[in-house]
Amino acid sequence: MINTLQTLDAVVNKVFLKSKRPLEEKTRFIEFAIDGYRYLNLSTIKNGFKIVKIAPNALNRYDFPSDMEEFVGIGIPYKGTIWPLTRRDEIIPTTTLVQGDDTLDSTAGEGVDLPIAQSDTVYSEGGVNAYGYYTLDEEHREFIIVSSSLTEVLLSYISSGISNTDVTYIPGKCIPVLEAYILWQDKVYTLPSDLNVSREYERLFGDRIKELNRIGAPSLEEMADAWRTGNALVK
Amino acid sequence: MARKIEYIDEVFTMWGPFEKGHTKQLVEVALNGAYNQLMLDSVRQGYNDLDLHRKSYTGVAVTYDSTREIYYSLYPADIVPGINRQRIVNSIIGSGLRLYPTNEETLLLKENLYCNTVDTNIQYIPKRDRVEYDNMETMTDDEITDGSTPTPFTTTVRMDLIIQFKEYAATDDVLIPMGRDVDFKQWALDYLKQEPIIDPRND
Repeated sequence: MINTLQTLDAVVNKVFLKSKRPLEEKTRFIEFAIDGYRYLNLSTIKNGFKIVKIAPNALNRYDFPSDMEEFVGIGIPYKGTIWPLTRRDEIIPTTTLVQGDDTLDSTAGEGVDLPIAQSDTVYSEGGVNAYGYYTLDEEHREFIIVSSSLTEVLLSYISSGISNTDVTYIPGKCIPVLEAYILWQDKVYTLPSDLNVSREYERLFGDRIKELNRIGAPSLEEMADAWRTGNALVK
Repeated sequence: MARKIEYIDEVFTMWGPFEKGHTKQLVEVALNGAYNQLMLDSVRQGYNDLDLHRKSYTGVAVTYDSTREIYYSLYPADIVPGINRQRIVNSIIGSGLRLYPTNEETLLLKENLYCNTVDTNIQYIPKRDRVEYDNMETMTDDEITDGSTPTPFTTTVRMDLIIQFKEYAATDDVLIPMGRDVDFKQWALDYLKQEPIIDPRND
């Protein structure tokens, strides 16, 4: 049996071997491969779904992970499962500078704990509130987590799937799609572009995306299961 | 296929009766020019068995140029220009490193791109007098600023080069692309007789 996982570099080499292109263009093709796999991760396979433990700093903030493409949710561990916290965009995101340092000024409402209802109180807002709320500060690329009684929370997000510290592995089912994407983009960016060839590669890419979707389509059982259990942390 | 000395002797004989100024050194210079031209022409015409003509050099040193902060290797012999870009530098077997050719323009453009951090291959740029490397450094910029000694991934590489005719030893076999032996000798003679070479593509 061959290993279906291949490195990003190996997939690019595979395209070179098949297309007999000069190796000098490899940097360019690696960039196409990165774009392509990122696109697949976001649009089709969503292999980049990650859950990580994060510890907010003294200002209750945590920087967006550098590889975060799409935010999914923040939760806390509860009896072995993730319990999602509620997002409250009314939380005041500003900070106050004191001698050059960012601080939280409670008189301006910064970092003030929100009212917390106990999970076991009748008529309470809901259990999630006992462990805090969060909001996103897109401008500064930070999460703001308030009123949490825990030092660590669980962040769910979709990563680009491309690692710059470890080797990036591509699942075997994605390789034909990625190959088609690389060949198509090569034509798109080559001037003067051969429109007919470019369209042919675009069609090939589209066909292979459809094939990939067929491979990854949920079974009837999976769909029924999803329907029954809800979708609290849907990717 | 013949040895280098045999080509020289043959062309020297074909050059005609010995006259003042006829030397085998001049014949070697002419054959050198003809060889460069012939190899370049063959590639242009689609000849791709270049590996047959490469001479391997192992243990070519990788040196650090502290002024430009890059690594480089000197060519172990003069190369035929224009056809040596592909696959000429390889790692010593077992090191697990992969190298591929690039150019200055690409290096400048990729500086802040994803591929710059994702790609772990070493790139080389064949230049006039040496081969320069990118991504050869094992240390980060910060580590070097803090005093760490620059350390390359490998201190030696293997080169497979199409070298010039003059670089062969007298008894070395010189491979000429199949069917081009006559051209090779004739072009050298044309150089010696100062007759213009007919461009076969426009003839």
